[in-house]
Amino acid sequence: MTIGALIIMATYGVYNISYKTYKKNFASAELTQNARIALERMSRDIRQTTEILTALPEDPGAGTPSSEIKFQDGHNFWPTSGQIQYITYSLSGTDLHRKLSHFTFTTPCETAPASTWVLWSTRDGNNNLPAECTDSDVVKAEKISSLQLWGVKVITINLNVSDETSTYQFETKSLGRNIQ
Amino acid sequence: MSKLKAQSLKQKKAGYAMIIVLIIMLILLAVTYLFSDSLFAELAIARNNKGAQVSFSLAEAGVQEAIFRIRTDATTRQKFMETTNGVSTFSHNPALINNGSYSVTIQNTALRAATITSVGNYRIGALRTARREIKVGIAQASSTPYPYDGAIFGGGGAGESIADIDFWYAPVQIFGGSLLSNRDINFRWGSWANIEKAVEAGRDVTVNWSISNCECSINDDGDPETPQCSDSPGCTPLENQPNKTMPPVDFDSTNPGSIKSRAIVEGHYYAKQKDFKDIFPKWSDRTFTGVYYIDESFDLDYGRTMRMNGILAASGSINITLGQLFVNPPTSGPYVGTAGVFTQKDFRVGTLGNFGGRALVYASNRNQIDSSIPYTMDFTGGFLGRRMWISGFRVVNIHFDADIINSTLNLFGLAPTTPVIEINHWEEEY
Repeated sequence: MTIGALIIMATYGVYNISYKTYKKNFASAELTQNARIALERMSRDIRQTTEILTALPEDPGAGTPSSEIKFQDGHNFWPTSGQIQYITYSLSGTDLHRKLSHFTFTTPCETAPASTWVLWSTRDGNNNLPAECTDSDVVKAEKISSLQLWGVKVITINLNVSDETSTYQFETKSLGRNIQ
Repeated sequence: MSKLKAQSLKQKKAGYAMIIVLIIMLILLAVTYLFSDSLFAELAIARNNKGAQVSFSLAEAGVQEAIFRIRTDATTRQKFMETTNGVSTFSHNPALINNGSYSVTIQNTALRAATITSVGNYRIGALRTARREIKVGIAQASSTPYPYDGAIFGGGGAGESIADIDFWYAPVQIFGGSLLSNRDINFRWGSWANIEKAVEAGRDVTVNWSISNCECSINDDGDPETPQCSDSPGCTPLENQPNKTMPPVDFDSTNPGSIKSRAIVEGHYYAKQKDFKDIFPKWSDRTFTGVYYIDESFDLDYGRTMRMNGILAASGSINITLGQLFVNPPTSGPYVGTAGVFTQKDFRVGTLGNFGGRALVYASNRNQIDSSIPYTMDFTGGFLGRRMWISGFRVVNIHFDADIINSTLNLFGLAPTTPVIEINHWEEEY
């Protein structure tokens, strides 16, 4: 009886440790997945952009890295059938947001047809810049505790993912292939 | 009795052990499940990542092979260089790696421009396939068949004995460009010419009862590189300058790239000007788009107003005697960014003729703008010919535009093309 109880307790101990290890692994995997998704989506969008609006330092030694990035969407606007939109990646808390927006002189801005969307730097007859409207704002990844970006044309994306117990740092570089 | 008790106890102990073993097995099973679940999830993520990377690389390999084929494979290159909507396809399965493949389509979007669509596939196990698609816009790198800044260029050479640029009582302003001649440049009888850049002649520059200002913007056209300066600064025209080359043009060879061949393909070839005028009545205002070729001289007369979005060419002369001609590049189609008037003889804007737009005017022999009271001329582009004649009192403003000249000559010129393929745009399909 005693031996049996000991065996059960030992086995439970093994189970308990295994379960905790599983949970920890699961949490790490979730963090890694969030980081992977964030890096992949940002890399892909930066790879296609034609213009980066956010002023980024060449390297962390040359200035403070930016915690957000805004650039022209290079997808589905070429050769002629697409529309001019801009993508902003930024952190809100630990959520990584991907905001899609457009610029237009037409009012109301929100319902302006895509044919009236213009480049951010366009000026009207009175030398005014166009208004910006958000088309969508979606959380693409969670648990991102910090985001840093730097570089010219080759953009370095550095981010930390964290939960209550762990923090991991990830970094990748993405070449803006359409940036002239 | 005691024997029976002992047997019952033994049976109970045996049942107890079995329960313990079952519990242990259950717990071990749960532990195994936890580990295997974690393991398989990680394995699936790793496989998916590998699949994504491999299929992306395969798609990129497809793009590179497409560019290689355009440069080296005769059939693919011919479609790319000489059609506006030709399609070439190829695929490899397996490609570069086991379980990997790619298929590529090269779809021309214009002459010497295409979209390459490359799809890379990588089979992950028996059931799943990773797929990545890349689209790349490419174009044949353009050369600069007209490397000069002459808004008016007189190529000189054989033909008529006189091959000069002549101004007779002509008020002419050239913005952003020069006046270039391989022979003489003559300003005569009250001509008043303001040229923003240089005046260069292969032989002499004669200013007779005329004013010739150069290297100065007399009326600021907003170009920051040529700020406004004082009136009549004068300049020293450059004489005895080395000859410059008149860029050749393929008017009517059987090559699919010649003006005539393109007009035939578009259904805009007219053996006689009468055939063309049948669709262009007197005193009418018509817009034409594309490449038009008239295989003799063409007179724009009887008050016709012709709005040409593209190319107007003739094997003879083109004379605007009583009519108006406005030439501009089309906004869509295969000839976007190109516009021109091409004649194998003379281009002449008569006294009752009006001409304007943004284009290249190319005359194998002579460009001529006659005096006119009712009309002034405001034109963007350039006049290239063996010689040029402008007589007043028509005010002639020419804004030099190297882009329209070179993009048009790139399509119809005979200058050798560079093997370089430019990548204009790159994007991924999701």
